[in-house]
Amino acid sequence: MATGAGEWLARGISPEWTLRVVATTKSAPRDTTPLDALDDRALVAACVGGRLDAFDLIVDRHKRSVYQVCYRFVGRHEDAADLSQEVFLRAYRGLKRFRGDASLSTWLYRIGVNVCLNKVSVRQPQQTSLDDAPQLAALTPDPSLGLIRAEAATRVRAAVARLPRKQRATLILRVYHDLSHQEIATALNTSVGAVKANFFHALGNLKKLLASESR
Amino acid sequence: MHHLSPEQLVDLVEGQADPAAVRHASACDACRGAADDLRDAMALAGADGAPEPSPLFWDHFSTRVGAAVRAEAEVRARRVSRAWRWMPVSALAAAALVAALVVVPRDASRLPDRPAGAVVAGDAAALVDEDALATPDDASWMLMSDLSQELSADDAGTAVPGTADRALRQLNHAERAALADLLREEMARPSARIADPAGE
Repeated sequence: MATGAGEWLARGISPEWTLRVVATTKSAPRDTTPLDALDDRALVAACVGGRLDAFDLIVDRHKRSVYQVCYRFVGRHEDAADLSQEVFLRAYRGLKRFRGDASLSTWLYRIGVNVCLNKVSVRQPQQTSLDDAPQLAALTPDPSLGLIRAEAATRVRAAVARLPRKQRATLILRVYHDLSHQEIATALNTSVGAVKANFFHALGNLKKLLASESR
Repeated sequence: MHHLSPEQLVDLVEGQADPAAVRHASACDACRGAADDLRDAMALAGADGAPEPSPLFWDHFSTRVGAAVRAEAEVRARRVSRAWRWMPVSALAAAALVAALVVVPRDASRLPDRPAGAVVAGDAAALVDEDALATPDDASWMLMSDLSQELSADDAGTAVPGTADRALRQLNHAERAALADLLREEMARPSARIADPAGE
């Protein structure tokens, strides 16, 4: 039968040893590395761990490229801003599924292209209005030269918007975002050979569309 | 050698072609012309510079996305918290139902007070007349029925969908009342209280 410690003490028997109880659970040391110093993967890990400010930094690092890819698809600032927000929200929801096989930027491009293609298929892309041209022209030292460039840009954008979906996505990622064929293949979930073939046909179709417009 | 494929032409224009393709292009007017066309098209495409919104837009955008993400995180946290609040009730109800499944003996003749029309577990699926057994005025039945609707297959462990319903139908009045008392007792505990969704 077990005897309580109190009973031993009451009988005047005290041990010659002392028992010290020490907590064995240690809280994990807090990572004090500033978020700015973390690479994208570490930021993703911090965000999955509950740090929303880590996601703010992801947004800051990638907002420009995400916005620009969206703008290339829809051709309107307001729509591009809405779609970019949608891209980041989807990224946030799926952050746990980001395995890090590809870079975070490629993963975001992939989400961006999917979001844009889905939206664009529902609603035809709005063509850039020539009203935008004077604003762009004002950015160049020679306004007349700027206007010519702006008009050329508008025509190109309209022609790109008429390309088939995969060709358009491939051309946008290759020409305007300088992604490698491998990165585009990852972003579009296809092969490098298919990316090169799509790029070839996209350029050929673009040239034809621009030529037919100028006639 | 055949003419260059689209992939090889793209490699050629981007300076990535293998030496054989480069040699072919230098000797083949058609392939050289195709490569020149590609270069022209790339130059045309490049005429559309990067869209650059107002500098003020970027701060506004970060704030907007940050707010949307935080709203999303809050909704997610609320969902998780609600699930945890239900956990004790769900777990207990699941345990009770699974226990009922195990405890109900296969031999119906051993059960006292079995209501007419009740059947033995195992034979239930084929024989149960649901309308006859569902007695709307039986409060115990209603309580257990409501609770079992909140259960998912995960809550019920290894029980397959529909098992809980079948198990309930096997209980006689005394057994149902005992199970209902058990559930009421558990639900009365503060940890099992469910917040008013409108008050969230």
